[in-house]
Amino acid sequence: MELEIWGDSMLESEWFRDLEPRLARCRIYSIGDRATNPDHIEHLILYDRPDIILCCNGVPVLVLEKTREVPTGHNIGQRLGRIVRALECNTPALTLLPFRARKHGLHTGICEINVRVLRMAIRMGTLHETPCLFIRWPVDAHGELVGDGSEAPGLRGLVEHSIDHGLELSAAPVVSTLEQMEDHARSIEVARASYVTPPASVEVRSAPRAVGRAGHRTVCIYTIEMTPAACRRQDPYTGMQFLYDYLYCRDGTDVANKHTALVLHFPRLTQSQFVSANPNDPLRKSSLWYATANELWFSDGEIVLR
Amino acid sequence: MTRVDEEFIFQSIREALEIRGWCMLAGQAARGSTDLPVVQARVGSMRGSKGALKPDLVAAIAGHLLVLELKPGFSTSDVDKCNELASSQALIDSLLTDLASRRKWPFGSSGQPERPRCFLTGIAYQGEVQHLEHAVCFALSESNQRWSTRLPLLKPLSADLITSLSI
Repeated sequence: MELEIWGDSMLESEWFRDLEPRLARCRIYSIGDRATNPDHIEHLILYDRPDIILCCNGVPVLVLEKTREVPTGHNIGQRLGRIVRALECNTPALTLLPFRARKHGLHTGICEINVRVLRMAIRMGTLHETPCLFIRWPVDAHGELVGDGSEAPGLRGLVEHSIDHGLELSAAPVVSTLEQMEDHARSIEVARASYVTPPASVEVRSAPRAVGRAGHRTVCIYTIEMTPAACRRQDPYTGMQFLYDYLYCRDGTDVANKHTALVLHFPRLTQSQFVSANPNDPLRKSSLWYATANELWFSDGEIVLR
Repeated sequence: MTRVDEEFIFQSIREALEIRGWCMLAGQAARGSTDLPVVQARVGSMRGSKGALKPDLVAAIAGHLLVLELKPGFSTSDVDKCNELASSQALIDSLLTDLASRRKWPFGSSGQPERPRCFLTGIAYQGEVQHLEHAVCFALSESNQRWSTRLPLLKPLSADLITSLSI
């Protein structure tokens, strides 16, 4: 069995290698710029670069994302594109992060994960029939992260299972992790009912007209308040569009499989302002703006994408 | 001659200091997350991390604190950052408060973070070692991959601290 680790950071690649004895002697490769990697890596980095790609005999068997950030609000958005892409390529995705941890600064306090992210992961895994797992980075009683993440319960078992059998939804460690995600999501939703409905920037309602090429009559409108002075950007919006797409629109694995149209609404931008700053160029990250929505709405018109 | 990147500098200087007994408190690798929290020093009330100074590595030994900026090669902007931090008590206090709030540095009886016995800034990179007035200079040789230390010209240091810094 030939194992390879492809990573965005040598420190993280070495951390990952130390999780499993069989990885000790495997080669570590640095993920290069687009169009410089083997095909099986290029497919996975189409939207963005994940932290780790584990390959077994030249086939990706796991994508891992790791962050110390507490994913409140839409902070997690910048990481979602690469996770979505893994699922689109039928590669199991693991995200290691704190579910509940202390944020520091002027208004320090314990912050909770945006529970919609867990709901999205569970939904996405079901639709793609591929595990999309979020694993809890342990914290101490003060809410500070413990260690380097390798102590996360279940992490080593999932990596081991990836090498031995590949991760499937029915695998015992996957089922166990999904149960933990479900339990955590439910406990947060009980405490904060606002998480059960869309956030303030998202509205799901009847469409004012037939939307998209399929003529949808219900629409999920994600309003993005970018201004002309700061509209050349993607994060975290292009990641969050996937979250709302999977939660409120999708009923299949293809972006065309939607029961509700997804619209990205830019009330402060004209069409030309947006397009000149964010062209649909497959070699640029700005192409993500065009990846899943049915239509883009601007102050002076709209673009129908699909 | 082997050229290295900032990740290598991060790991290499960390290991060299740990061998000398330094304890790593915080840091920010050029890529990816590590076991260390990212801390910042800032003055004013801007949101998020705007305008904040985030050290690449913060280490302590026997009540002394060392704040390092890391680069693959010598960088005058890193020297400027060191000087900015070392010359501003408000920035130092902000950094100590952030460290203390993460339980990486002790609070004193007054409720404020304890003052370090010595507050030092420094730079680490690959190249020729430099004489700096206020900051410690750690340079990694291109030929044999060994570290050299040059102490700050204008900052008197205790003998035990000099020993700890000599990597």
